[in-house]
Amino acid sequence: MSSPLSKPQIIAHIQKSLNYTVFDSKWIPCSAKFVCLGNFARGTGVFQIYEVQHGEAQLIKEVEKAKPIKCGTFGASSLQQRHMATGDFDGNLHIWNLEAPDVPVYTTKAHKEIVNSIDGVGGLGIGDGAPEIVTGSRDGTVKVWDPRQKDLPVANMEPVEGETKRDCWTVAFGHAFNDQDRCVCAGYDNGDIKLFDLRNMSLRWETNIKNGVCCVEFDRKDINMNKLVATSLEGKFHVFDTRTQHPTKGFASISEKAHKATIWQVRHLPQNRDIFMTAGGAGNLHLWKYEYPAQRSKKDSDGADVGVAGSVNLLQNATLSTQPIASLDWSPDKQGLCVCSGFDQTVRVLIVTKLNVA
Amino acid sequence: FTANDKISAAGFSTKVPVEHLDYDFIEKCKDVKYLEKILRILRSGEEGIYPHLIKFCERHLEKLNPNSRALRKENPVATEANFSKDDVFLLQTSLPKQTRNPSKRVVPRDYQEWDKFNVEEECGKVDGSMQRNDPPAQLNSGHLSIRREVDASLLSHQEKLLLANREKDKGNEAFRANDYEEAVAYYSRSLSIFPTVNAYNNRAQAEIRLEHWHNAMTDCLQVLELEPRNKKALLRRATVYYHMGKFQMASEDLRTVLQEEPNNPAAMQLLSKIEKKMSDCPPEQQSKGKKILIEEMEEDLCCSKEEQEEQRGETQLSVYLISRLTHRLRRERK
Repeated sequence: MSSPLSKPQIIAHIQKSLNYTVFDSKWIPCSAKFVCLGNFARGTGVFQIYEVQHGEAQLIKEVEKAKPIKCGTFGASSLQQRHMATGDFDGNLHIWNLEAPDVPVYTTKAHKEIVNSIDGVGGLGIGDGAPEIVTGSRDGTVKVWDPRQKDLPVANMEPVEGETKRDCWTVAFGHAFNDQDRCVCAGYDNGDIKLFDLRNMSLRWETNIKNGVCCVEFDRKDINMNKLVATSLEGKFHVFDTRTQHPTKGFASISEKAHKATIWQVRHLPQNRDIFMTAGGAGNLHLWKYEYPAQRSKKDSDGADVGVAGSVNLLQNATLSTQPIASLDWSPDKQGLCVCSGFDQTVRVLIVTKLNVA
Repeated sequence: FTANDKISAAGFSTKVPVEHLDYDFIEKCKDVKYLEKILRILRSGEEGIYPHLIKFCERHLEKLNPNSRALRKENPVATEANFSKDDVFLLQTSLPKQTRNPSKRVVPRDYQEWDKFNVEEECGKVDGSMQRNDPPAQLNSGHLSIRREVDASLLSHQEKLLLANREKDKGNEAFRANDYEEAVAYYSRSLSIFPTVNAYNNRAQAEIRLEHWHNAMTDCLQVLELEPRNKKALLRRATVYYHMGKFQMASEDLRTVLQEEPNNPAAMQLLSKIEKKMSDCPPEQQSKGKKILIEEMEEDLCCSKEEQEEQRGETQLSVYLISRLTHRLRRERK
């Protein structure tokens, strides 16, 4: 029986109640500040910058915008500039300089409907190659943008004419281990997961996990793709081992049923790709660790390589509130520090201890 | 036990008879799924509320299957009240501090401390008995196209440190997943950005796993040039010597380590292995005496360390051959 003291502990460090609906919260890289994105009750968007000081979150700046803001990322900006890319309810993509947030650095009408999810790669020293932003929207399209190219996306993945459009709920970059390779993974509301290869401009793999996909994430964006976690409605998440792709069977996977409600987010620890946290619709967080199998691939009856999935262990769980935790972000600077926000209009800063021995 | 089997055979799959909600039955039951079913019924309170019986059932289930889903508990989030004052102080002071000037970055002195912490843990895992002999097969042999050199000329010192650390972390992760080639590639990238002792040490370990003895030796020597008393490098060099057959030099390195840390388990283990090997081959003893003589002469002539080492290797081999020949001649004469 493992003693409870040796397991990682999830500690609530700061809790801040807000007066608006907060959709996303992100750490500003190389600082003790975080940004909260959301919308006021009067229908306008807002982002607030808080600083963690003396056990308190101090409001540094509040900026109001015309349209409610749904999601944001720092992934495509350099470490010195730290520009934030946001997607809003109207389908616009803006890139803001947080020091001068009146006018965006880059703006484009990305989609016809709300931008559900955004991700960036190539900035912050993660991934070689050009910085790019990918957005997924309710209009069923996934578009890749380069901040140096005005108005038009670099790549557009959309359903064929005549096919029904399914909402794209989540997007993630991965496989960006040199300056030519990149992959985008998109999850849709009917359970489709599609992996697009941006080097060959083709669909590399697709599958359906029967429930709407709420969040996908690669364990690390800037390595040869290793693992992909996809979370869905009805409390299930799947871990795919993406090192070995079988021509017909695709990737090996395991699935785990955890929270009793939708799993809204999954985030891998930036300092250890085998530890990840899932945030659930019942306001709880589960911390998991993936164990690799003894052999990661084997030969099947036809002689082709097929992957072997490992196993997932629950390290710790914590119930924060009764409302869903919609966003979660690990700090890239301090291991174990994370900020999460929920639909109870609260943003929390958590510390997870003992991640080194896990 | 037989009663349990009979009942499941008879198809009572949905109902658990009341007789089974009993201490004796639960203790004797070895079927995990059935125990989980019993636990569910007890928790739901259909047959009454028996908290002590529930706890007993949970304990028994934990003994049989500690990873069972039925044992997962919803924990409330911990707050600072749950910890002692010292722990709370540690937590608060270890949070990232904001410098007054937002355009400048925080001085990353902390990163180097985390650096060392990480590698020690790594060493503990590696020096333990976690030997994974299965080779990891990859359809994605993309590690071959990972560029080993990163152009970091335009970055400031702090950025270089940050990037180098990140690449080293990637190497550590690949190492843990047994992708040693990939690990070496990432460590090489880290070293091309900013050479650090830990990255060299880790790369040496990965090369040892791949059995590239000469590469491992070069890396160990690099570390020892930067830090002559680095214990891990000495240990790794001893391992390389052992596999190359140079037992004398391996045992010298190990003795140096044991002088500083007398209870080092890895060093003691390797030393005992070497001593066993040395005692198993007595003809080596004679050639050892001769080997030392030749070495002294060579050192005057050669200038570079590596050349000397190669020469020593060759002379050792030739001396060994000579001693074997003389041995055979002596036997034939007899």
